[in-house]
Parts: sequence; C-alpha cells; structure tokens
Amino acid sequence: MSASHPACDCAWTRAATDAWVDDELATDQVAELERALATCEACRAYRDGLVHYKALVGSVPTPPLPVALAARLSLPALERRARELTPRPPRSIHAARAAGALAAGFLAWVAFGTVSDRFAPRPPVGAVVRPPVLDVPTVPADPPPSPEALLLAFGEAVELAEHGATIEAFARFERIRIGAGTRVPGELAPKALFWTARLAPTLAEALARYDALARDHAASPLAATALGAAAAVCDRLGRNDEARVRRVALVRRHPASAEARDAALALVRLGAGELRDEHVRWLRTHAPDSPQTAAALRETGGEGSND
Amino acid sequence: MTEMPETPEERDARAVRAVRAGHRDAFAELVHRHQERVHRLCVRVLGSEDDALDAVQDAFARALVRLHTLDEPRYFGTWLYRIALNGACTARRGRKRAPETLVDTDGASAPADVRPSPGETAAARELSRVLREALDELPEAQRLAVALCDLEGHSYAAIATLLAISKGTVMSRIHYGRQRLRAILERRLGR
Repeated sequence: MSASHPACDCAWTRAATDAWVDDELATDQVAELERALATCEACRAYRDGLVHYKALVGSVPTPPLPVALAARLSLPALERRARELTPRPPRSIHAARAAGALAAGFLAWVAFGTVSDRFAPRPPVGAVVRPPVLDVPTVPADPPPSPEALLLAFGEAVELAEHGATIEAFARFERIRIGAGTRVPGELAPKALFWTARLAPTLAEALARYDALARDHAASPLAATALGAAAAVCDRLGRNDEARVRRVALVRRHPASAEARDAALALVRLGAGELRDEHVRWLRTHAPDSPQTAAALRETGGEGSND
Repeated sequence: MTEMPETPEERDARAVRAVRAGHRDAFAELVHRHQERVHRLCVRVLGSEDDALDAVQDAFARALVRLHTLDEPRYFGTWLYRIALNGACTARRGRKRAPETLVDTDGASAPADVRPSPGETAAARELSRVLREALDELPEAQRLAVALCDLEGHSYAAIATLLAISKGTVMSRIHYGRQRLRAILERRLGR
C-alpha cells in the first residue's frame, strides 16, 4: 500500500486530481498539483487509479440511435404526444367551474322566479301570503385545502416546473404556499416558497423570496440553501455588500451546513484582513477536512491559523 | 467582408423563433440537431431502450408545447436537455420494476435494430454490465453527476446548470461518487 507524505494535503490533492483528469483544474493550480503529486506516493497511486478508471469508462460503447426513433419524433407524432401530455386543469379548477355554474344557475333561477312571479296567479284577496321556502342547500364557504390535497398539488406543480411550465408552476406553488401557511406542519410551506423563488420571473423577486424563506422558516433545512441562493443572486445583481451580509449570516446561523462552508470560502476569497482571517479560522474549526478549508488555506498561504 | 458562420446556439434560436412564428416544421430542425444527445442521455438514465424511446419523445413533445416559456431561445439545447433529464429521472423513480440501470449497452433488452454488432466484444458487454450495476449502487445525486461527466462528457459548468447546483457541488459529487464507484468496480472486477 502506498504511503501518504506527511506534508501532503491529500484531500485537496485528490479532489484536484479529479478536476485535472476532467480538464477542469485552473491553470494556476496545475503546477501546485504536480508538486503535491511529486511528493506523495499515495496521491500518485490515486491519480494512476483515476486515469485507469477514466480509460475504462471511456471504453464503454455509446448507444446507437435506434431506427424506431425517427417515427416517434415526426411532427405529427410529437403534436399528438404533446396533446396527451398537456396537463388537465386540477380538480380544484373543475370544482370552481362547477360551483360557478351552480351559482349562475341559481341566480338565473332567482331572476326567472322574480320575473315569473309577475305572471303567476295572484292569491285570493285576504289569504295569508307566506314567503316561499327556498329548497336550495346552503353552499358553505370553501374549506381550506387538506394537507393531503396540498401535497398532491405540490407533486403536480413539481411536475409542471420540471417540464418547463414555469409560469403555471409558479402560480401553483404560490397557492400551495398560501394554502399551507402555518396550518400545515412540516416542510410544505418552505418548500413551496423555495420553488417560487427558483421560478420567480426576476432576480429581485427571487431575492425577496429567498430572504423571506431564510427569515420566516429559519428552522427549515432549506433556510441555509435559501441564504446561499440569496447571496448568489446578490452576486448576479452586483450587490457585493448584500451578498457578504448574507454569507456571514449563513455561516453564523447554519454552521453545520455545506452551504456555510461554501459561504465561508467565498468570504475568504472576497474578503480582506480580519474578515478573511476569521473565516479561514472558522473553516479550520468547523470543517477541517473539507475541500473548502483546503482551498482557503492554499489560497491564503495558511493565514488565519489558530496556532 | 465575410459573415461569421452561425453558431449552433444561433441556429437553435433562429429555429425556435420560426416555430413561435407559426412555422411548426422548423421544429424538425431542432429535433434533428438534438435527438442523438437526448437519446443517449435517456438511455444512460433509464437503461431500457424502450423506456428511452418514450422519454425522448416525451422530452421533445414537452419542449414543443412549452416552447413559448423559453426565455432565451439560444439556450434551447440546455433547456431541452434539462427537460429530458427531469423526465427520465421521474420515469426512473416511478418505475417499479428492477433493476434500475444507467448504462445498458449490452443489448440484452434492446430491440433488434440496436443490438450490438458482432464486432463488439464480450468483454465490452461485460464491462457495460458491471459498470451499470456499480453505478446503481451510488446515491442518485452522485450517480447523475458521475454519469453526466464520465459517460456523457459534460463539463462541470454544464452539469451544474443541468442539475441546478453549484459547480463546487458538482466537483464534490463527482469526486466522492467516483471514489465509491472505483471501489465497487475494483471489488467486482477483482483488480
């Protein structure tokens, strides 16, 4: 068995070797990897095994295009299939339409009754006139959707989102979020909110929703993801200060999350002075063996040491 | 002055705009350009050629019906690939029968027109089978990242876009997924 060199950061070297075989390692890191490999026999063995593995999987034959596919992808066949796949309105919409029709019928019935009264035979003079008894069942107010119905609707909305029906999916997740509110325990409301953020039409809207998720559902496992996503949105909007605030919050509030490690590394990279050192120390303390820590130490030359 | 040739993305954008303008036949151009890649992806995810045929057709049909929701026509390819990937993953999760496969090019369940040619060696078929079974032992997140990288040759950035995760997460999934996969392969191949 090959021995690791005591000075080698094997976790970083091996992660970098994976990126190197995929031609994804940054040019400025290749020389560093070569130096590390030169000193560590175990990492060289890892590299050799990885190269062998890549050659092995590269020799797996690619599936040929079947002849039968051409007929399935003709325009008429696709249009037929598209009609079959087009989602039908959910039951709630059918129910709403039915209720609407009932209400319209009822109003028409009342209106007709009012008009028809003019032509009805008049009671004899002196007879007691009783108001007519409406034998129509009272329509109760719409009950809130049950958790089961919301879960079902959630599944349908995910399907829609995954198949590119962004606008419809957004609307449905929004309804689910409002429907679930605080009434349905569990992750349904934060999940629906997260989806609306992902599908939001603008970055600003997405940001507001990620922030709301991080704030209003702080105990949810999605809160850390939302903060990380909010920081990334701020990056895209060029709001560097706001991105930093969210990353700092992420590191402090959700220190055990993977997103916190990414955030800490970003703070190391973007920060300067105390902020950078603080997060190098944070990474060393909270995730000593993580690739993010290895990268932070490498990029800062080991600054922020606890020693 | 000579004009710059159109990039594949520009050609896609032109075809998308034509379809939206009512020239439905232009969709055939998009099908022609992307069918091979989408088919390969669906075979990788689903294994069975029959299921892959359904998934490829569904992906293009969904793309056709949802084309108006595509914000950037240039990115039709990525968008379509994402639809295909999601559809294939959903089909795979919904499929009750076992075993699930990511790589199935040994022809065991393939119709006649896709059976391996006589030239393909028994060793290649055996390797396909072992790799398929080994990949099936990985968690879905790692399996997809490894398959998209090692079998489909996608860049980390492309995988990040497809799976809607960060590039760092892609690197991590590939790194740890490969470690597990290599250990399984070594055990199975006795190397």
